[in-house]
Amino acid sequence: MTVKQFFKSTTFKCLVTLLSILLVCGIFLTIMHGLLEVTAEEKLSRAISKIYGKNVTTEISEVKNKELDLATIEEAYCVTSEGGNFLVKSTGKGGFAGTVTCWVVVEIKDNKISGVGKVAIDSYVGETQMAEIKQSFLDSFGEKYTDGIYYTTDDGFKVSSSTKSSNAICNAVNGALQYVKTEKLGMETNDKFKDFLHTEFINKKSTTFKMAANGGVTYNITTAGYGLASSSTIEITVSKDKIITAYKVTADGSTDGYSLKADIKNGVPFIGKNLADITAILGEGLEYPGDDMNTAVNTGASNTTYDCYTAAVFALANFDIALANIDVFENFEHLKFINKSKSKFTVNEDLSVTYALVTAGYGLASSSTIEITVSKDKIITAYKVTADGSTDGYSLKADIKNGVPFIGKNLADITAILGEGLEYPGDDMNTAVNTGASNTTYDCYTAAVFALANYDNCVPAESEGGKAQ
Amino acid sequence: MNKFKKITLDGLIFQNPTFILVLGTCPTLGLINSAFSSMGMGLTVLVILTLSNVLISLLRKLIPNEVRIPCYIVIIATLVTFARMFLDKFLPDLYESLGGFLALIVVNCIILGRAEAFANKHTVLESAVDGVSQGLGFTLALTIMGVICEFFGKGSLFGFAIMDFKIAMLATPAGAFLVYGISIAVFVYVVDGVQRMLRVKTNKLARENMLKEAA
Repeated sequence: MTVKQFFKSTTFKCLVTLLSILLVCGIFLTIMHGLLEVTAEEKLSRAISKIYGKNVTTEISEVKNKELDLATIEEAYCVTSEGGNFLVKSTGKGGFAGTVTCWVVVEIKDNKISGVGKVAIDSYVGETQMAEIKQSFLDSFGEKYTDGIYYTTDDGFKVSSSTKSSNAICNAVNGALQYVKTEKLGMETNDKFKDFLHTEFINKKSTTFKMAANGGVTYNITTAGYGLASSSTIEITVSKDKIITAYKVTADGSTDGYSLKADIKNGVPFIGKNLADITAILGEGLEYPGDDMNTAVNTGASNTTYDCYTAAVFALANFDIALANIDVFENFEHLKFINKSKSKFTVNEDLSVTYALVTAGYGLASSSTIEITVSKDKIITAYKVTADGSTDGYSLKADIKNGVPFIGKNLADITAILGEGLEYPGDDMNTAVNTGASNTTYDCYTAAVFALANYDNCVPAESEGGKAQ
Repeated sequence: MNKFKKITLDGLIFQNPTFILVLGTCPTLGLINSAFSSMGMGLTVLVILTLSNVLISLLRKLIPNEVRIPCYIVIIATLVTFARMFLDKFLPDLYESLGGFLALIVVNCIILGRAEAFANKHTVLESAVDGVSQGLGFTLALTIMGVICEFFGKGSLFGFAIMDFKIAMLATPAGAFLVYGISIAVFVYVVDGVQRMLRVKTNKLARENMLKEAA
């Protein structure tokens, strides 16, 4: 075929026609894109109008996909025309098969979060039951706001036919609150699981951990629930060797008609296992193996069984951090009299308790350091002030420093001296507290009260061999 | 004038794209759980179908037979992209409610079908009338089924709550499938009935005329 023939051929005609149509269409769409493009500002304005029902003035906060445990914060705005409230676009994790993105209005008063103004759904991915999420559910976040930062499905923030999607919405709102609280208001989060691993497997509000009698950690874990399964409650004790020594499912979250196997409920597959053992079963990614596999997780109640395995992973992986974060003075009385972070106690073999207390200091007096031993009969057997916090020019009397007024005394004896309210008697009274260094002496008496009143907290009834802190 | 009447009646009734030709079932099943979405989809298809019919009819003598399908697809895709831009800009609620089905109009059988079966053989005006009537037929079918599904499936109409009673299944694609099937059966039954009646009437008239002529 010659060049001339080619230009006269049908092939050339087809090429020219197709390319011409493509060119014209391309130019048309380019022009239209320029005319009809929806800018980012316009999209934001639409979203805000949808939430507020009017145009408001906003100030953009710099956020680029900030990852939180429960949610991803995508955008945040300070709504200046609404008294400095924050408008946060937050994508909640933990949906049925995806995420839900919400706009959350976080109301601010006196530089504190005062409530949740509005919650509006922006978009969702992989959720099939979003039609069940009604406006009344979204409104309930504002209506039921309490000072606590987290909403949970256990608190009624749940739509029964759309449990997982409502969980994702809950997480989006919690994420927005957490973001504003920590990043915008500069407040410390009360998240006791802040640096913990695998928190996505647990319900952080309901999960607790404490020192075990064997020196390990006992967790009371409420799981996050997986798939169709609801939360389960599991008690797990991890020993100092990072091996599970006790495992008991106290509440089975399986769907109606399903139930955990008895040996899983009693922790048979977990007791004696370490993190590597459990990870070997679940695989490195700790993913759910699927419904039709033949693994240890695939029981009649596979979703709940997976929950049990991930709870074990959580307990084992976080042993060190949990041990370091245990509040040894949790539930103790009269904490106002001592400096918690500097005080400690040891349970001796004879079940007596030796405290090394740093007092809070009273009035003009600074902190004192006092060593007190309380016998198992709840009587002070040793008392020694090792650092006197008295103001310059004043000093504790020698007999008080050596614990003479305290040794051999029980709680009733000391309380009788201070009075039921344990109040400072005043500077000009004639009581045992009114010495030359009355404030520090009062500190010494209240330290004795603290030591005697909290003996049972140091040595729980179930403790057999005592414990060392 | 009879030609345009026939084209219109074909689009609305005798060759209704939804109930008779059973074309465009993907958006039908996906969207008829909401009357608003159904009507929105129908009207969008109406506009795109009319414009594509007009353009293809205009270009029918310029487009070589060998590349007609790629050319139609490019034209339809351009119109759909334009429709998406337009709706996103001016009707964002409708744009969101149509979701992915809006982009899928590119491969809607009704549009490519009418381009291939009608527009490339007829004049611009006839093609425009065909586009409008087929689009109206599609819109009416979708809206009627959307009203049924939303009313019984969600207890609402065009988003406004009407009653508490609902059959949730009808708001799902499975329910839509059921309503679609029943609607086809009813529509075909009625159209067949009307056609039979018209045939009987015509035959009767013809017989009477023949008898008159014989007498």
